[in-house]
Amino acid sequence: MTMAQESYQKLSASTKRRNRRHKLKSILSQTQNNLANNSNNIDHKSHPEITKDSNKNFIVNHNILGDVQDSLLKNKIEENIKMSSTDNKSRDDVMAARQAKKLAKQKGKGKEPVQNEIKEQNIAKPVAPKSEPAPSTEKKVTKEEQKPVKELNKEPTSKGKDEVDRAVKVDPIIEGADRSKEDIKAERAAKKAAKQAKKKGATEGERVEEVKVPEKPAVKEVSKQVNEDMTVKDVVETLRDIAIVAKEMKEVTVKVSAIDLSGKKAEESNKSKAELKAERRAKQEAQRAAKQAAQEKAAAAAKPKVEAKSAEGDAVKVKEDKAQKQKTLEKAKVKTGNGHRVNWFQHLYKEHDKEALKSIAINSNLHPAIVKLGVQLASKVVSGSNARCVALLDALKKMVRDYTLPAKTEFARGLESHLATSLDFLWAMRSPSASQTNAIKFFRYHLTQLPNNVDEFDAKKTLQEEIDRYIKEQIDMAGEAISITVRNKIADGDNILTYGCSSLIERILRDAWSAGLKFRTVVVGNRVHTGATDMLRRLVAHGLPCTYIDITSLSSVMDKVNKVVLGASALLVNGSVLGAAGTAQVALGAQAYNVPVLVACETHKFSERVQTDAFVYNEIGDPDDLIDKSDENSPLKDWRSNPNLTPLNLTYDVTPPSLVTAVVTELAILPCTSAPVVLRFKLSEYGV
Amino acid sequence: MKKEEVQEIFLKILKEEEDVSAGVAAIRTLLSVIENYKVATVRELDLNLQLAVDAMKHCDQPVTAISSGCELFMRFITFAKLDVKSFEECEQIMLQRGHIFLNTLLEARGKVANIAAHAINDGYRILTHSRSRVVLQAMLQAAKANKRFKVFVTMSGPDNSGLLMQKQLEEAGIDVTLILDAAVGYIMEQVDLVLLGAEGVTENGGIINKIGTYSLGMAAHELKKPVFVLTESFKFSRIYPLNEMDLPKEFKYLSSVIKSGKDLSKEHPLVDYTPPVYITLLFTDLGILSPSAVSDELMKLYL
Repeated sequence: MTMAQESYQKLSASTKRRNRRHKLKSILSQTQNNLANNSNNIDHKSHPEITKDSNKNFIVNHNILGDVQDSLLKNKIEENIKMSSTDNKSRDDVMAARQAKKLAKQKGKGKEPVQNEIKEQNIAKPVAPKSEPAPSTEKKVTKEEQKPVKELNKEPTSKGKDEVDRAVKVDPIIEGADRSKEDIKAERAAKKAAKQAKKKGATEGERVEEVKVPEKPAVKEVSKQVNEDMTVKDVVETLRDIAIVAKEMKEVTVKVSAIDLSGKKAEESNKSKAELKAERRAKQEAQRAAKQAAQEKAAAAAKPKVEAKSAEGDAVKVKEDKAQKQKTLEKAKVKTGNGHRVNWFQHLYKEHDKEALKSIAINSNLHPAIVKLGVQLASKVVSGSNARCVALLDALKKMVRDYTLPAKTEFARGLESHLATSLDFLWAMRSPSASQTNAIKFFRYHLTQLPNNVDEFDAKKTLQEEIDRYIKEQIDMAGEAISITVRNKIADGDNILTYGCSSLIERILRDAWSAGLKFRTVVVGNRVHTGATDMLRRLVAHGLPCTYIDITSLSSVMDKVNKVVLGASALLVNGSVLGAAGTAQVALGAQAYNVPVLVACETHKFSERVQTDAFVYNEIGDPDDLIDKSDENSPLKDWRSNPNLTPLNLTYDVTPPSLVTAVVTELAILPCTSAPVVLRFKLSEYGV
Repeated sequence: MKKEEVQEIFLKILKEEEDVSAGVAAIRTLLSVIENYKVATVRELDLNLQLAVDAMKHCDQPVTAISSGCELFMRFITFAKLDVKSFEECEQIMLQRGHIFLNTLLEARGKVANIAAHAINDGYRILTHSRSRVVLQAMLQAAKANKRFKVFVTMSGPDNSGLLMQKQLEEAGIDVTLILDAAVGYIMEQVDLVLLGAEGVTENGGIINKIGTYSLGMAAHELKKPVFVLTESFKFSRIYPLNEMDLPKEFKYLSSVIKSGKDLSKEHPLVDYTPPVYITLLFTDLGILSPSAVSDELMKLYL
């Protein structure tokens, strides 16, 4: 592979990544809108319909993709991700695609993979050929585009600089509207880092002999300079990683890149939206710059190699240095990996080892819907107990529909093994919630209930119907029943306090408001998990009078509150409530002020687990979420380089039954000590 | 069938047989409705019963026991209509079931008293609130078993029903002291055991009972005295009050007061809700239950 080709590949890869991120972002907003819409229309629209719609989309996209697939076989996963995005194609999407197109044009004229990328994204509209004049607003870009490709290699430094600058320029044009302070900051930082890297590259070109020796101090210098800014530190780290990757070009086979991508997705999973946005942009900038740097470096390194043919010793030295440097880097990496773990939560980190996620094999046996769901779960695009459950069931339905029975296999057994591999993948992306576990239990139950000699068609039909029924009865109708029950508990003039984001609570409050009850809602949120603000937005849009407070000021409003209504992730068999981190604190506050606490929880979220605290089972979120982005001098900023500092971001907590007045289920209002009764009842009724 | 006729039957039972609680009286009224008012269809019968229940709720008697008793009765007998052919057959089965149901109810009090009498030990000083038939019967039974114990009975305003309780206990030769409602805190430290009746038992194992029970429960809890509630299982009802305010006003006030349109905040509530934390055990005909087991039993009955 020549240098040029390599660089093309890298460029196209980065474009892809960029596109995908934009997509992801747009899906995120799309999902939110959808969620709002869904709950808006919940009376008119039943779940099966929704799922049918998405099915339709799915098929269409699949067909379209098939056309392009040949040229893009090597990046199967990316397609899946795109499928998800094309599902919800929106204005955002188109914008993102346009931008991607523009960037791609700037960078690599006549590069097939990029073109294909664009084609795939803009399937709806005809793809303009390379030579076609761009719209007037893009004139500048078009000019750039016409620069011969050779230039890229001839004048790497100037080109690199241009590119970074331009990227910074182009970005605000397109995204100007939703650019936040953070973004700008991140960009600036990235730019700075990129310049540093370039400078480094330039010096390296001059002193070939010393290339490797000053490498490490140089990096240190960079990190020192930018130590004050967390984002820049990230950038430098990424730079470093990318430098290694550039050196190991030979190893970058198609498969590895595929796995790497999935790993990356997972890595990004635990970040908040805003941060994701900022970080992504920073990373992109850095990557581009780094590529330039790496290219130059590689070019520079190649030169001495040619010279070294006459002087072997030098070449060996360079190689040795390379190896050494790599080792030290790896060591450092490992150190940071293990050092930042809170002792009592060691057992939780294992599941979320980013390296482990990378090593998950995505084989072709997995249904695209499953892979898509996996990515959505890992990136928390799909979050919330109900949404996760519905998404899982929907994916299962698609999987069942498209399942082809191998010869001489019993349907149930064949599908069971297929299911097992799919679940292994999904649970590795994010450990299952109680609702998902129960849904799977239900699905397996019906799978085993199938008669031995069942016809494949009939079996599929039965299973799909059962899934639809489950969604309808256990989630939709249950939600309605709970909504009615809680509504009867709300009196006119009440102040209802709720915490965090729950689709069920939102539905309850909106239904109650629509039913004509006059009450005030106090939404309690926290800075780290921003779900509450999303719910607040939707409640306010629905016309509810709302108050928003941070959890820190809970005690100052609690004396005015009449009822606390909380959502739950799971209700455990000992009566404890597994909820979003902070739920227990709100319940405790309510108890201190003698305010009744209602937990709204459908019975499909009841779990057979027993847990008395949040240590045994929990999920570790992204520690970076804890950093206050608006605070320049946040002491948490450089926690990665400080071995004495370990941020811990837990996802769940456990509320003891003594703090909960009642659990509202679709069966009845119950004390939470009645959880075993419900489970027993469900066992006798549904066999699950 | 007229509303007034039903009310008449109901009030007559209550008046003539003092020993019958409102819940049982309500069920007997419903049975007589089935017997006396001949109808041709199940639907008509259903409507009749609904009307009768509604009528009874509006005749100035405490509603709690009536509503839970009727609800259970309807559930118990109406299953009959699902699996018979002719209406006559159905009616017969309903009546039969109704009588079976009534008999179990009548036996229930004896059962509860039997179990609870064992909880009364020699030398105990027992505090009770207002007048409860089942508490009375348990005490009489314990006295019959030659246990010597002392009873404190609250006067229990506004109807001073404690006076009747005192009289009946004295007749049985039990050492009894009438105390003021306000003296509950004063007397609590001398007491070994608190025995309470209940008008209704809520889903979470709390009780709805004569006003004053809540404060008595709190005092007992504070001084760590065991609180036993004696109740028949037909008083278990599917309501779940979150606090006193959340208790339906039909339970708290007589129907005449509600109808009069007076400012209810100026009226005396007749019952209050005692949360399960203040209750140690419930003695029922189903056995001795912890408060949290009530919802288990209710699930069995209704789901």
